[in-house]
Amino acid sequence: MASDIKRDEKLIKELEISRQKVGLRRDFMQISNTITFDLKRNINKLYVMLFVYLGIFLLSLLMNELLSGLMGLLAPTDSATLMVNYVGEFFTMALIISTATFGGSIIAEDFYRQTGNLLFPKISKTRLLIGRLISRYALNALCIIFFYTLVYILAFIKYGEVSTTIIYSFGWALLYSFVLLTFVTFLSSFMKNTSFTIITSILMLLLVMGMIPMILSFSGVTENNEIPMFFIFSYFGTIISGSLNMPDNRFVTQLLGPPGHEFEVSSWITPSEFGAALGMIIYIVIFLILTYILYQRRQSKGE
Amino acid sequence: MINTKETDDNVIIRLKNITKKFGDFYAVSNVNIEIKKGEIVGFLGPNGAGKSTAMKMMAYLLKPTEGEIWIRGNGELEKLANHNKDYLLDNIGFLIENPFFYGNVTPRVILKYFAELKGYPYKKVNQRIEEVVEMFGLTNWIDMKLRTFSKGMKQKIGIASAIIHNPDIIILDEPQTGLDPQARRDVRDLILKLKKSGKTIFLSSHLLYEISEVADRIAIINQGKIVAFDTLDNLESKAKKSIIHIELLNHPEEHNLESVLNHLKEEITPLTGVSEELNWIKYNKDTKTFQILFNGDPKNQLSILKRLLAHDYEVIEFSVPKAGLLENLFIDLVKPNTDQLSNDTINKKKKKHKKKLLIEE
Repeated sequence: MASDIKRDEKLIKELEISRQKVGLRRDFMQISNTITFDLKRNINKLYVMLFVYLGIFLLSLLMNELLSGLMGLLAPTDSATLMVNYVGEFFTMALIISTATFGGSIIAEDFYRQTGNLLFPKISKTRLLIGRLISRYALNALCIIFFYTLVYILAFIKYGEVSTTIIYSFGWALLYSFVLLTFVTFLSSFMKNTSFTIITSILMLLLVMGMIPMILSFSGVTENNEIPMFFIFSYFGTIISGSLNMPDNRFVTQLLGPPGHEFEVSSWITPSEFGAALGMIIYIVIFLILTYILYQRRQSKGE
Repeated sequence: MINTKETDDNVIIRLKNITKKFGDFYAVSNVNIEIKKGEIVGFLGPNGAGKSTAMKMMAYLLKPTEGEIWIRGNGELEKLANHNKDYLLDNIGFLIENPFFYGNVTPRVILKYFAELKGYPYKKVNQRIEEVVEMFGLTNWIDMKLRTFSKGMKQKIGIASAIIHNPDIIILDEPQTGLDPQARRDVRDLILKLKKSGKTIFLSSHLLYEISEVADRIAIINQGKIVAFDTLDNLESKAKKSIIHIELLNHPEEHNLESVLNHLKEEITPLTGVSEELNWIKYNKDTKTFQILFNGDPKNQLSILKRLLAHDYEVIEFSVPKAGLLENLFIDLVKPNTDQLSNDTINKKKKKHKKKLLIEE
């Protein structure tokens, strides 16, 4: 009993501490603490996603090197053309999956699992969101770096040099992944739970946004080369491969269908650099503003 | 109830005319509470009475529609506002409702995060975590994943997270709800231990017994209004009612219960000090005790005991449990009005009128 009292007294004495300053320094400190904590918490997801990217790379390798050889297709003449085959649709799909996985829980989790009850009295939602966006983006960026490293090594082994356009492509991939992250975060700000957010994000980005350009192409709306598809933000993802070997004509018309019954299909291959940068920034701003408003208004269960 | 001096050295939190409206619905209405340094204030009220709303306003999660919240910062009471919220709220530890944790982290990781968020000196964080975890008897679990913890252990970590940054004031919202008796007792002991170390505690609960065991003063809220705020003894004297629990050596059988009750009524009711129409004596078959309503006066209590002994009742227990009194008092004070809204209606109203959250930056 006496030792208990002594210990408590010692504790009280030791707890006489002077607190750190508040204000801007506290803002940065809380954001930095959130980044560190969030990185630790999501490290297992990173390992899983690195395996997914490795799988996507191996699948692309199999299709491009083995099947192309079997089908007698011509090998790419330079490293840039080779890389286009690797950062195309499969890579974009991996990007969507990883972004949805990292970003799906960013807001919804705290409300569904009620972890927000502990968090919100300690940190403002704004700082929490900023910290989490940075950490989730960093995790996604690590996956992208990993994939591009593999592609770089392959191109270097095959051609002895790597086109500098890989840097542009990498930069666009980073920017596009941030657009995706803000979109997923926006969904997370009002969706009920993490799983639902992830599934909805993947379905919307892969299916819905993938189908709209196809429908437009087949319907002939884009026939006159009048409407670039800026209204579908997944269109901006095409610049990741497009920037490796930017085509002279970004709008193409192809003949499809069986012989004798061909029909014309027109589509946009990639946006211009300026259009892509501007479009993506606009989408980022829109999604972030909507997310902020919804997040601030959202309440925990029982409130 | 309210001291007009803002410089009262003992007051550590002051809620001054706090009102929170959601549309035309008053969740909290003109609440005035002063909490003094080192005391435990219990906060009681039925579901939907406004307890959580009041606590969330103190945590700056909700902005009062009217009124002010004053918190003692560095020696002085200061009005809580956007510019000083970090600094003032550093002095408060909150546990809002049941704590839910990320399952894949350990207490060490999450407590470190919470301590750093609240500006606890970086170099002392690890030492502080170990001290707090030891205080809660969870030293062996400090590096285990939280998903493996029982509900009681999570509750302890929840309270640990509220005090990890060493605040002077601790606000606990229903910390014992859903816990088994052992865990409830552990949490109660922890609360008393925190009080012993000089902390001021504001505690809400549905568990009247838990409140009566720890609280120095009790605030009862109903329909958003404070209907009572005093020490338990003062509330008792104001209510002029209390309940005596009596256990006899030989419990009455079913066939003679009626006659024993009638005899007791005949002998005891003139001594209770309660008007005839309010008098009651009943037998609780679960606890095997007789319960007698009386006016709470110790003299009447003694007279009743003497009369029982004079009639050769073999009394083995004669007590006035505080929880029983509190329960009675609580029911009296929060008696539903005919026009009182049901919880569902209240929640619907709350949902209808989206709560305005603070726009912090």
